[in-house]
Amino acid sequence: AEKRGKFGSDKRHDIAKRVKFKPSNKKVRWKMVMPWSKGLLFYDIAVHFCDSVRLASAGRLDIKPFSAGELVPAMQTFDAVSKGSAQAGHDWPGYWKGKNEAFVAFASVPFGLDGEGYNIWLYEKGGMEMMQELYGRFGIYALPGGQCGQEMGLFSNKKATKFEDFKGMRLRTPGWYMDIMNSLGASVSPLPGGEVYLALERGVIDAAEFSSPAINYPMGFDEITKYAIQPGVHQPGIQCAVFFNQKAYDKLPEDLRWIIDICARETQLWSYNWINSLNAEAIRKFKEKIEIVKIDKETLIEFRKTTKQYLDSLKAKYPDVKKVLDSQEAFIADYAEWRDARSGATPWPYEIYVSGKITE
Amino acid sequence: MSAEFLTVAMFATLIFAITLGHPLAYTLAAVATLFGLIDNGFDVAGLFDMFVNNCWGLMNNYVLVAIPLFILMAQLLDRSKVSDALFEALYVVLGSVRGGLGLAVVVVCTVFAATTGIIGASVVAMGLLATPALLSKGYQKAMTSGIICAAGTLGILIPPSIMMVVYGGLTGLKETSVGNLFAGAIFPGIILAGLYFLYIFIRCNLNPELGPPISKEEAGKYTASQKWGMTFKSLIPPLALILAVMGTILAGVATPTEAAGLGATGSLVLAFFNKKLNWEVLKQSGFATLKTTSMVMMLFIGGKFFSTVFLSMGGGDVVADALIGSGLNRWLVLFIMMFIVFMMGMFIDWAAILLVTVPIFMPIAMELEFNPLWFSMLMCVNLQTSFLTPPFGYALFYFKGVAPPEYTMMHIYRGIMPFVFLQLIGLTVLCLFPELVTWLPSIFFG
Amino acid sequence: MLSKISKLIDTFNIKEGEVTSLLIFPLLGVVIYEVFMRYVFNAPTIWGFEVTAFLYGLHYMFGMAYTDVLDGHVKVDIFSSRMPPRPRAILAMVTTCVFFLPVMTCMTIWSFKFAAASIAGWERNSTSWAPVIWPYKFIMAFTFLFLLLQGVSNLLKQIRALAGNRDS
Ligand code: NA
Ligand code: NA
Repeated sequence: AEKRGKFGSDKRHDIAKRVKFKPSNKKVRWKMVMPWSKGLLFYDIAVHFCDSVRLASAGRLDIKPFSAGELVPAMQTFDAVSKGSAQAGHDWPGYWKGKNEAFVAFASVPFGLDGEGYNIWLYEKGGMEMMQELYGRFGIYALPGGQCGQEMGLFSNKKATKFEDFKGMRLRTPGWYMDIMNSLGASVSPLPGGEVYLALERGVIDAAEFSSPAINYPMGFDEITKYAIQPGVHQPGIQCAVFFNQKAYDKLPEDLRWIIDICARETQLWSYNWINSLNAEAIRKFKEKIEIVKIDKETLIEFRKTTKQYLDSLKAKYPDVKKVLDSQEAFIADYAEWRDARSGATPWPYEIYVSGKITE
Repeated sequence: MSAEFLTVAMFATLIFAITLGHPLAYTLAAVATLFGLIDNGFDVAGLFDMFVNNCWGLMNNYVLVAIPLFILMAQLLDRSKVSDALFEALYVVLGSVRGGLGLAVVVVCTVFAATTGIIGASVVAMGLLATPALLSKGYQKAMTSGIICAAGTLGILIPPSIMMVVYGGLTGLKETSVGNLFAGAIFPGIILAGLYFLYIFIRCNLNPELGPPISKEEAGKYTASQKWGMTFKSLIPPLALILAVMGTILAGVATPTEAAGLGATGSLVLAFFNKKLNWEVLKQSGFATLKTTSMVMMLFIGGKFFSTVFLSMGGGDVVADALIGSGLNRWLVLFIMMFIVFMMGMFIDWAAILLVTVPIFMPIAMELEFNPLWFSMLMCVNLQTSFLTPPFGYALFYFKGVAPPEYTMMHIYRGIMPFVFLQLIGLTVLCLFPELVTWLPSIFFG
Repeated sequence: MLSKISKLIDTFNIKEGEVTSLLIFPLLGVVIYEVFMRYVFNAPTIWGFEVTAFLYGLHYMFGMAYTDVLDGHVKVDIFSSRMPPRPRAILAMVTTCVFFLPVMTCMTIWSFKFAAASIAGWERNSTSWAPVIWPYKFIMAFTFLFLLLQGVSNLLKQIRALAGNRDS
């Protein structure tokens, strides 16, 4: 029989055992910009990263976070870090779609990677290297910096679970999903974020999506709508990034660079747990005010087909998108055997499991 | 240099620099540049990349689109002379009361405040229209200037208002969205108008020489029903516009920006019916709109640079620590913030004040758990005084520009004092009864 | 010579402003069209909000220089207006040279760099409609150039005022 060794190895260990530290006493003060206002939980994630770095470095690297608009407008975060006006930034990469369409793939893809998927693909399957290559073109060093799980579906005043229900529905959703919904026959308006609440309340639009339950809760969409149409297929996993001006990053002593790397991973881990624990609480609260309805199976399959057509058309148009999506899809395919083999052990409460609901 | 030192130095430099008479927007940008460079170790590229990013962000700010549209609306309304008819009607209705013409000015200004978002047009229109009538009836000069300046200034408090648009654009909070601010400003606006009305009525009854009634013959030219007929007829155009703007926002047909567009369209229609719609009017309205919009936006740019550098230096934390960290009573902190705004209002214009103070004061107000909408409204009502307080007050300049030469700056300064005092009373009333601000928005927007 | 240059700049900026001031009407048109399409025909456009914001941005940015020629930028001249003409002209020259020219020169340079970075990546807007935005960024750079030129014109006028050969 063939000889079998250990099945894997921690690649970082090879580097770690060779590192010779020259401990530095240099004190570095940085500024971090972001597209988040203080009311959004994303802001707390960015602040968490800054705190982690300060704590781990005993204050030698002090990154001061600035919310949206304090130093630069929300959507100028990327340019500001690229040019070095601020040394650090936090984002949802999809905002930089106009710089390169492929940024969206590192943020969330309709029917694409979920939280687990992003973690494995980014850290183990070369996703992070692709991400760093893309940001690197703009003079930026990037790391995964927050995974917020699945988004909520649409807050709606129209009950829509079947394919026909979405025809003619007036809704607000940005980005790739907007194009997808448009091709499904909905009439989608890219209302600016600040206008969504009023537009939804006054019936200017029928439905809107914003973010995950815990992030949506303070917005009070449940007070002005009747339904939450689930699941949020447009974003199965919200992936954020933390990023740095390359020149500023290169000037850091090696120990601080390791601290940044480890704190980014810690933020990725913490954010997922924190947001999802809050999501569970928020969705219970939503349920008191609105009915949570599920899109039926056939409709989901139709959506999936339309989404594939759309994504294929993007791949044909943008080689960078093709490279990233192909890699993500290859991972999804690779992982399918294991996903199937392990299924049936979903940790439902006892009553739900024994009633026959054994998978997700 | 410590953040505390830089914070104080930056404000001191600004105060000195603005007295040199260079345009305020450029001065703000220059002071921001100086301190930005000190703060970032003289990294010129880093600073100006940040400034350019900020400019670009302003050019993409959808909320602010309402500004030129509201200004255009005011320009068209002004040129179609719709306020003349209402003043003429009220002249005979209220003229026979002591102080009646003054009361008529307040009513006309209040009604038109609900159709325009700026102040220049109201003060100028009333200055041209009402001053001759008030003068010829023997109204005291100081009183006349006070009435017109104060009532004309209501245009920027009673919604629609570009002050609220700027405020909403600055905070980006749901609580202080432009829609909420508009709804919240309705009662405060009416309260100020009511205070002016009462004050004129009482003062002129105590001392009839301040504002004598028109003669019996003049008042008797029309029958009572004719008078009311004229009044109602002249109220139709402004009411239609109020419906087009506030009506569409509250009924959910349009966002505040779109409502501004509907209002501008409405004023085009009015100009058409008044046979004032021609190429010349369109052109002149367009020129004037550009001039005012760019003036406000240039201040926006300079003010943005200033607040950006100020926050970047840690100035926001310095002010917050000084106000909150020292354990002062929250009401005292509120008073200090209001006092600072009032003092700034003497020297700088409202947009610059908002741009500099809101990013610093809003977080403090939130930290002290003041209702953000209520706090914002206190800021806006407080800023009403900035239009009137000498030496630098827009309303005073606009009025001086159109008033007959016998009005000196001293008449105007003396005349507006009681009205500044009334504004502060109004501010106090809102402090004591927050529901006056928060109730209407809660009805309209849940 | 100096007065010719400054007159040329003034005339250019006035004409430029008068033409671009008319952008307010297409801006109004787009806003109304969007309300109409969404409310009446239930067919919102994907471009309405962006076009609105673009037109608005162009409108006031072009207006910066125009407003400056017409002396429309608010200033606190309560002290300087009481000064005799000569010291006043000197003060105006100093403030133009210290406050205005350095800042606006840098704004012009860096906004051109900003536009150049955008064209290098053929940048589009990060929206569904995704129009190219580098031309818009270049226009922003030009509006700062126009404003800078206006500052130069103002300086030339102040020099002339100081030299004393004032004509109306
Ligand atoms: Na108003
Ligand atoms: Na004042």
